[in-house]
Amino acid sequence: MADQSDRNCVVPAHRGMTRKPYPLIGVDDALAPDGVEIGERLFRDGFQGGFSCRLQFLNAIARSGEHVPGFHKVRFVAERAVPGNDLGVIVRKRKTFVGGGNHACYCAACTGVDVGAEGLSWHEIRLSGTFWLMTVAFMLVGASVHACIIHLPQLIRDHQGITSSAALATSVLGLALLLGEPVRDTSLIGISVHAWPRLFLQAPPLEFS
Amino acid sequence: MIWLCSQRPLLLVGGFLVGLAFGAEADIIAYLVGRYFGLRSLGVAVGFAFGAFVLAGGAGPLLMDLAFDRSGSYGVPLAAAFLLTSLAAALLTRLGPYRFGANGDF
Repeated sequence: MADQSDRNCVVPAHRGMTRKPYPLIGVDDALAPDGVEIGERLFRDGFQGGFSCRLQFLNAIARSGEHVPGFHKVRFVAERAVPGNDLGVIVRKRKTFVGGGNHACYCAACTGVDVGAEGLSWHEIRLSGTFWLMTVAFMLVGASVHACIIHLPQLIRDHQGITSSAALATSVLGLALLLGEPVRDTSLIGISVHAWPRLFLQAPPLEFS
Repeated sequence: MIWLCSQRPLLLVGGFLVGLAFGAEADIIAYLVGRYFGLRSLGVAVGFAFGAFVLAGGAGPLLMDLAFDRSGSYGVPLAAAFLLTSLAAALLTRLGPYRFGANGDF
């Protein structure tokens, strides 16, 4: 961080990233990782992300409007680069990669919006017939199963006239509801039944880096 | 099964199957959306699909009540629930193969 601020930033790093925005600083001056190409999501040769202080970032853009031909998608990524990394590899690998740079502390402060995951955008999903097929199927199942669950005691009591059967069936339903999740995970996701106690009792610790 | 059978064990089996279906079905939405559309917009897509699922779940009991009031019996709404669930199963078989891996990659 120190060498980067000495080399590229007009303002010392601790001042640029904290409280006081520095209106005269330009993005290209503040963030200029070497050898990085991002294509249309990149304006000039700087990153769109990297500042931990958003005001500083916005000021920098406003003051250097001629350097911002296209600025419609801003995403920050959790995968940060460290000095010495080939940033081009990361950029080519992640289509939505915009943030990063050698400013590790900046990235750590502004991550959490997008982890560079692959997939369709919401617009594409919304236009997909598969999504609506899936949603309608879920709605049908949800309506049917909820209706049966809510009315199960009344159903059985009206049908058979025995309240104890209705109560027992409700208990069985609750038990089956609990069993449904491991059955689903075992059959679909592949989690072994033997692993379930471990999932509950030995949850992996959260890692913060 | 609940409606057609009057024997107690079969009633319990029917209740068990309903509970099993609900327990397995509710959380599978996120998994299926992730496998078919990736992780990029997973939150929005799952929120939409799950919201629709919950709304339909709220409307289902109400519709069953209305059908019971109209017909005086649970036979018609149970038959409708059976048909709707069968239709949903048929629809889910038309989704095709997964498009994304378990980690959201192609």
